[in-house]
Amino acid sequence: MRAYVIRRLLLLIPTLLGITMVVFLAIQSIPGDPIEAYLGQFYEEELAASLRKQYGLDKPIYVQYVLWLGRLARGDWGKEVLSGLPVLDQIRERLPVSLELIFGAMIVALLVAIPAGITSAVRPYTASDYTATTGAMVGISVPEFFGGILLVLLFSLGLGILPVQGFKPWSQGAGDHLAHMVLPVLTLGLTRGALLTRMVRGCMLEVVGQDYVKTARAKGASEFLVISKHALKNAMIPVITVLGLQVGFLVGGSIVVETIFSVPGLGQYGINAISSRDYPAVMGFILVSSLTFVMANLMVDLAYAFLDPRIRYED
Amino acid sequence: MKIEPGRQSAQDYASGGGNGYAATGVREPALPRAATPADEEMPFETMLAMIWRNLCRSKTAVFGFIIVTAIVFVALTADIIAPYSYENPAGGSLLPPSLKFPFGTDPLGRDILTRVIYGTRVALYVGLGSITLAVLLGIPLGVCSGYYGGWVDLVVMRVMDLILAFPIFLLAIVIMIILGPSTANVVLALAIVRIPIFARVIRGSVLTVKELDFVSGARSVSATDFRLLFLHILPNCLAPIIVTATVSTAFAILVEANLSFLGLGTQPPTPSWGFDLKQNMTSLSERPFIVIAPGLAIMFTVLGFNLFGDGLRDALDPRTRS
Repeated sequence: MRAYVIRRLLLLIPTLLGITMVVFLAIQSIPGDPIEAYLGQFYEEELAASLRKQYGLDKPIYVQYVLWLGRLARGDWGKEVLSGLPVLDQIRERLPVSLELIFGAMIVALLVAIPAGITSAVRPYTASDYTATTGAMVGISVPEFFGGILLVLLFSLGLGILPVQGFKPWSQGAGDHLAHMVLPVLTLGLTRGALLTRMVRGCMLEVVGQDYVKTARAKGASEFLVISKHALKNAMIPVITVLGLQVGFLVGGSIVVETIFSVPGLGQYGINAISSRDYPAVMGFILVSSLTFVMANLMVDLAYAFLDPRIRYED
Repeated sequence: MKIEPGRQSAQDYASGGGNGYAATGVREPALPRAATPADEEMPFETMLAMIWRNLCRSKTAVFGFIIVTAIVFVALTADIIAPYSYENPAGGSLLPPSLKFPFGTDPLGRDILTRVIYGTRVALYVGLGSITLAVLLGIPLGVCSGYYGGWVDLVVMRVMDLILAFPIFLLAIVIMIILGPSTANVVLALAIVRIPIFARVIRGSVLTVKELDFVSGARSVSATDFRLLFLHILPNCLAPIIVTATVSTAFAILVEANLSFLGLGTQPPTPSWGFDLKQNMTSLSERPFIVIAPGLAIMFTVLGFNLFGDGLRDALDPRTRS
């Protein structure tokens, strides 16, 4: 187990190098020369050359990459073009909001998927199963932004019990904060929950048919105990893998959801930066979003090894 | 040993290709012998008919197929069935639904129904275009990776892993930043993010198929690598490709809507459901209905491809065949 954890952590190094390389090349390949953009249309070639030298832009691209990595590691992520504020500080302020949204959505997804999937699998091809599978299929097909708008129409404009959009920090009262977070979390969580429901149902169906479940039933264990204690544990293993993959969609979905509900998270920051062509900020956004995904996958892999004693990873 | 037809003795059977039944004079059971060649020599049309029959057995798959057909029909006949122009105002701004404008008009006074009808074109263009491109690029990568193995496999699969190390939607955004927003670039971006999926699926199938006896057989009569790959191995990997492609089309349509919603995809005045929804959302509190039509259009299109893909998976899966 320890060897596996260490190996998995070592595997982070090439992944992180790969990601930074892609982000670096992506920013490099955006059309336009930064020095020309800075100096305007008319400039002296000598001044441009000295500026290039000053910023290290005259060096070969791999040297530039290594220099850039060094700056990243020292916490120098550049400054926003418009405000001049350090990008890293801005991201540090917004990341917790996005993580709260993503984490909340994950819990909503599990709270929906596990009961719905189990009900479906325990009584397959009945009315409750068809309701759950149809609901899941429709849920997968609804884009987050449309789902969000429907929730706004129902809860905000229709029933008038929740705010349409906006954000209140924790410091202004927990109730107000949570009221503003309910719809974004639900929007993101329900769409993901739909896919997980299908997954839980599929895995559960497979496990319920296995011999050890029959044995548990034959021993006279109650149906509740058989499902919750014997079947669920094994069914959850593939579900957790899918949950890990879902984190990627949660990160992506949070960008859209934050835009709809004006939640000042990382996604909204990124989209604003893209529309104002603030490339240091764009870079920070891409880098931190990908890192969130990589770290979440790492946690899922570790949880996986912990949950399933059959997996010992000793090859 | 030279054997003349019709003069095989019991001894020949026993020493050579006999299977025990002939030697004892018992007729060979018809079933196991007849089944294998019939399965291999089944004509293409019969196979299609069988898949079609399996597909029709599921109501949801038929429902999906009907939706997909309807969307294709609407896209092809948009110029005829759309009542107004998608570019120019047809009436006042934000009119409520009426006989003249079944879904009302958008903030710029354009008929929402017309925009939704033309939106099928962008959706299908992106969905089918990007997946075709991804399949065309993913197949050679996956085939070479699986067939040759070694360093080819290592390099190709590590690059694919790198692409998969990013959340798909985020990567699509990054590519759109580099390429600039346009529908054609969405097609390219979605193809790129989808290549690893196809390369992996095909690599997996090739790894299995290349170990089968008929491939060794073809190799033993010195078939070229090219012939082996494209005539013997690839046709046997088609089922997972078709299923993945159908489900990926649904996904691509969904992502295009999302990108356009964020302003990174299709640009106005070209009608895209995602962009229209974003633009109509600004008037949500006055006219809640104006977001419903484009939203439902996305939902049903994606649902159609998802259901159809699910049905195809069951129809093509040999385990569920009767």
